[in-house]
Amino acid sequence: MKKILLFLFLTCGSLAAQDREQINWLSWEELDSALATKPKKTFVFFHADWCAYCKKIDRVVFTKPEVIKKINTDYYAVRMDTETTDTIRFDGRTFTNRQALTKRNGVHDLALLLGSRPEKSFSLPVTIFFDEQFGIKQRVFEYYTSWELLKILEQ
Amino acid sequence: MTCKYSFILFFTGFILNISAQETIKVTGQVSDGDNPIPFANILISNTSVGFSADGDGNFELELPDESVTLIVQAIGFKTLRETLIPSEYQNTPLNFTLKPDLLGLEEVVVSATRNRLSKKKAPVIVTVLSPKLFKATQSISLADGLHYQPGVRVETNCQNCGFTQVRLNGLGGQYTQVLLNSRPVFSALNGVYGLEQIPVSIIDRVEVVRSGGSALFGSSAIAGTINIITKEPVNNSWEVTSNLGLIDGTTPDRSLNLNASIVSEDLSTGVTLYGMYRNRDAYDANDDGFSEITKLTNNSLGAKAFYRPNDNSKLGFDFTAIKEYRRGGDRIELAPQFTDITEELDHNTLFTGVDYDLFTNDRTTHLTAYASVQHTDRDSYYGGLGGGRTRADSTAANNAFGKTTDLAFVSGVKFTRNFKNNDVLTSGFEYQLNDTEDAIPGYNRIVDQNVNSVGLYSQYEWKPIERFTALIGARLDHIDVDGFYQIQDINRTSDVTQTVLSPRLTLLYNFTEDLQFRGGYARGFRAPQAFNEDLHISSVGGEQRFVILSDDLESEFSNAYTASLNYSKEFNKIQTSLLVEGFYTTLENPFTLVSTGTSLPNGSILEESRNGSGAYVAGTNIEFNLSPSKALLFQAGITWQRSIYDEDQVLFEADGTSPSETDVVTDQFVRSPNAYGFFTTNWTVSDSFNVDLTGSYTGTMLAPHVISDTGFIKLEETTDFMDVTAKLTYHLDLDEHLHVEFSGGVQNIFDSYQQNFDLGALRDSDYIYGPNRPRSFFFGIRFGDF
Repeated sequence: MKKILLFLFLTCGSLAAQDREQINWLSWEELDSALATKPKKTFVFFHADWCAYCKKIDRVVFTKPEVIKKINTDYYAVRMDTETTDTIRFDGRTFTNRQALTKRNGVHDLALLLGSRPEKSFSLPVTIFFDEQFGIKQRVFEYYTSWELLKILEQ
Repeated sequence: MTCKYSFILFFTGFILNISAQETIKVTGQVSDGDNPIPFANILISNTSVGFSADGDGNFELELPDESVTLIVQAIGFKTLRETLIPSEYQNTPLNFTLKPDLLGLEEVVVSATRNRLSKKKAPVIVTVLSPKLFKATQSISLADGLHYQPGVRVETNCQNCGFTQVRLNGLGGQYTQVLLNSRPVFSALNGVYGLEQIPVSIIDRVEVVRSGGSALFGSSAIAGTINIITKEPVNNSWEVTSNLGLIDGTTPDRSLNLNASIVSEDLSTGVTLYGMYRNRDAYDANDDGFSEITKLTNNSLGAKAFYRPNDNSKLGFDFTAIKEYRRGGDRIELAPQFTDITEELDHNTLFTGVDYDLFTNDRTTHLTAYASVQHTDRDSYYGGLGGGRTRADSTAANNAFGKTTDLAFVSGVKFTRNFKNNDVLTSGFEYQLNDTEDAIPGYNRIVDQNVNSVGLYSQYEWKPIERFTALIGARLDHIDVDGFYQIQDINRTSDVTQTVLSPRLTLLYNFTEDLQFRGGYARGFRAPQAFNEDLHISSVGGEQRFVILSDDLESEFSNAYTASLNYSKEFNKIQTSLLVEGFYTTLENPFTLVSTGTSLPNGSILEESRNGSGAYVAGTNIEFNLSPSKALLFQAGITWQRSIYDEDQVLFEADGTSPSETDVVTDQFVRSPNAYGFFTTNWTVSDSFNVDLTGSYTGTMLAPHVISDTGFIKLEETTDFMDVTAKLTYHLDLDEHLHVEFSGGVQNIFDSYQQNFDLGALRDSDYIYGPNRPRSFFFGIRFGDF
């Protein structure tokens, strides 16, 4: 009986998933070359497995059609798990996760570089809005709703 | 192209508040010993001046020309403090080495001072039980999971009804205060079976505070507090968990848990709904036809909702309904009056609560107001033919039905103010009402008790210097007990009005960042009234055993002293911690159950709750944690203690009719082993596969055993027990939104279980001790979006 239920959940889940529009997420390397060819505003979202508010943004805010449309039209979008141990090449530099060598939940150097604040611990979620010249316009260090996000994206 | 991304410069070497006075420039690097740590923050203690290191850990500081204390912080690392003279570093670099923090020592806890505090800064030792541990030990209810803490033991005390007691530092259940979300909603009656009624699926964590050190929570928390904190959701989620256990490989114990949360996009409203169904058959260990583990069915349903009108306030509501049926004895398929022994309890309990939190804009002041109500309706049957088949036996059996109602209300206001110098003032007011009525007309038994109490408390957390914290507080309780207790031809009353001041003092001193000392004193008291054990009826010799308060029962007082050393140290990537805690609690006039034998007219045993001789419990708790890597965690704890009456305490009062039976006296607490402990091991083999091995040890102890039909008891020395559980869990991500977990294992692998139960209708049903179940197999499936 459980198996049948499970099967039903799976089929319904995957059917629904196919219809969903998504934000076109780029990797850092893709962003590097995209910026070189065509400058555009950039939207960067840092998250981690343990971050409940990140998950909430992911599921509730990034799934709203108006948010997807706005980001896909006017922005390059990058999302990054701050705990990734991948080596990332961006802007002619190489970034690694050096914290992960010595500790659990180590934060990647690139996330630390962009998401650190003086006198405060690194916290998630972190969202960064760049202008066309890849200069930082705004950094947001907390949860936001889709209407709050749209307001910032419109600026 | 490279210069285009000059943004990087914005973040390198952020320098704040460079002071204008004479300064000395000092440079250096922050590292973990091998690699630089990027973006560490370096603060000058007692000022608002701060610097931050760059992406390669390098920094340049401008320091005043005098001795300064620097605080170096980086996320995931332990905070470092160093006092130095800047002029010494004008020509040599200043390097800091930070240590990673693996064991979650910076975890946030609530219980210690009723505010959120980092566990390490809490002046009182708080141990936290996570849902992970409840899962590792295959705990269906709270009662099953509490063993895995030093100084804590949970034991079933009745074969007929499964009455469980939690014992902290060797003191019985009535000395421990159980709190739900920091509120004392557990009444005297809930204390009897309540720990088995709370489903673990609603629990976020359980915080255990041993000894009375922190207890602004209440003066009756003499042995400690157990604070059950329920979940606060952020995301929408749901899960279904189903478990099948086979006690001794045969007797089924099935359960189903449902749990779902919905939280609005702006996080201003949310609700969690939960439900539990459990159905356990009765288990008979020795094939005498009488249960050792009771039949249990439990249906619980609840909801917890919140509303945040703005960022600084929150309104919460919670509701839980519990319908629990338990029955033990023989011939469970028959109506109770046709059996030899039946204890049957049908609980209908409802908890409802509302709370309101208000913060000021700068979050320095916090006000909480709350009110909770608990109501229980209970149908009971404590009786049976008792092995006889006469008309009188039958009449008695037909009249053993009882009815209980219990109402508990608690309401309070708490005010917290954080001062600029980090001192904290907490004050509050609490009103509690507990009204219990328990009537079994057939035995002419009545408990009609009304307890009103008003508590006023205040505590000041004083941090005169960085290394030292003192928590000074007191609680003023005004308690009013109006009780009427009757069994057959005996009746007693309790009419007490008392005002008691209970002072508390706790100290914390950091010798180094790794070594901390804590010490505390707390005074506690309990006014004469019927507590959980006094409301429980068991059977022996085919008759019932009742408890009644003695005449002129006086309040019981306690003085609790604790001192502990906590040492945490990393050896490269291996992290360890060791806690050694000594405790010493003296009791004046402790309420002690003394058996007067079969002194009631119908041949039943009567136990009286009397003021015993003074007593003390003293011992040591040792807890050791080791985490060699992320994949492996090992914890172990052991308690050695003595629980001694100052003078020999009478536990059975002989009436002189039988020359071989004299008063039974002892200087030791019964059911209190001198050594007990636990271990837990968690091994994450891969992302999807997990192995847990857990165990609890119970040393030998004295257990009272009724051995003749006059109710004469013998103090038996029990064997020791090692109850080990192994569990395998396999996790599968079917989709981002759907996960499945399969688990299976064995509880009590070595079948370490009591072997010498009494047989038949005349047995002493309280003669049960040690692990709660024999070897049992279990299988579980959990699925959902969790």
